[in-house]
Amino acid sequence: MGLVIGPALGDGVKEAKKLISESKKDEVEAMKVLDLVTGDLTEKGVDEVIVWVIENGFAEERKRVGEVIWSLPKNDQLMLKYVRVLGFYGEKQQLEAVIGKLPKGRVQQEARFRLAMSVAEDAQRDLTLTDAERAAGNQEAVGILEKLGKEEGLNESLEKRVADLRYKVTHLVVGCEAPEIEGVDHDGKQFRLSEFRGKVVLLPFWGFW
Amino acid sequence: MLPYERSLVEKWKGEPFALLGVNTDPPKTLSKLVKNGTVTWRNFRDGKVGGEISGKWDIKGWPTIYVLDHKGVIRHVSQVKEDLDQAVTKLIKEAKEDLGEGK
Repeated sequence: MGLVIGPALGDGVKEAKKLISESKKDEVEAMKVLDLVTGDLTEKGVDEVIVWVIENGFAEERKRVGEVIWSLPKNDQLMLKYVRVLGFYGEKQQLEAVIGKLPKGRVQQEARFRLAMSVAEDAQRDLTLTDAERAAGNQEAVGILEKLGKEEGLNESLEKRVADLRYKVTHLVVGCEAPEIEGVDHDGKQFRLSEFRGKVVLLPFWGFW
Repeated sequence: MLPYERSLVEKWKGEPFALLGVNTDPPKTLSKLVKNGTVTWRNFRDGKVGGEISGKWDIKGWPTIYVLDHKGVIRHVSQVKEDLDQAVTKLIKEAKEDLGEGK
């Protein structure tokens, strides 16, 4: 066993990693882990610790990460991870803050896409919204996507996701006329969704698996 | 889920209502379910998860349930059955009023 004399460089990360490894058995507070590394953000391995906090923390921790992440050496992968997690939790304010601070480019574009997704999801999921509020939410999402779609240097995957989400928000959400479905029934007999105009249609997408 | 859906078909018999599924089972499975009376409503055959229709409708969760009004406008999207009864009841009333039968 070695004798430890004062904190050597990298101790924050070591301590943080020890806590993280214990988190498999015990609940470990992500904030404690974060505290251990924020003293010296230049330590080797800080990135990994921050990623763990992003993935395992709650809203409070994500907010703190948002404050310290800009002091880290530039790391697109880490930023992308952060942006995706913010999108997953629909944290629009945080995403807006990130978009404002990031330089133009791939990560910022991704953040704008995730913001559009969150705005669209809120417009669909929030049952307390009026039709007008819902429409305004959809419109806001379409606005973000339109601007993003025109941007130079959009990579192919993002370009497709932007187009797909735009189609969804303009064709497949509450208030849109349902797209036609042409298909066959269990007997192979052809029929169409529009044959049922005049009736309320309950349309479950389902399987017996 | 299936007994519940059968009950809805019964409940709104004679009303301006239709239950139409988009089914992702292999065609054989669907045929069997219809023949043995498990499925009492008409379905579009989509053949597999991520079939052509589900793909076009960008379905990510199963089941996803859309409710359309009598004009074909999407009025409700849900992944749970609890709120369907209320949504459909309201829309049937609306349809009848619009078609001049509800007075």
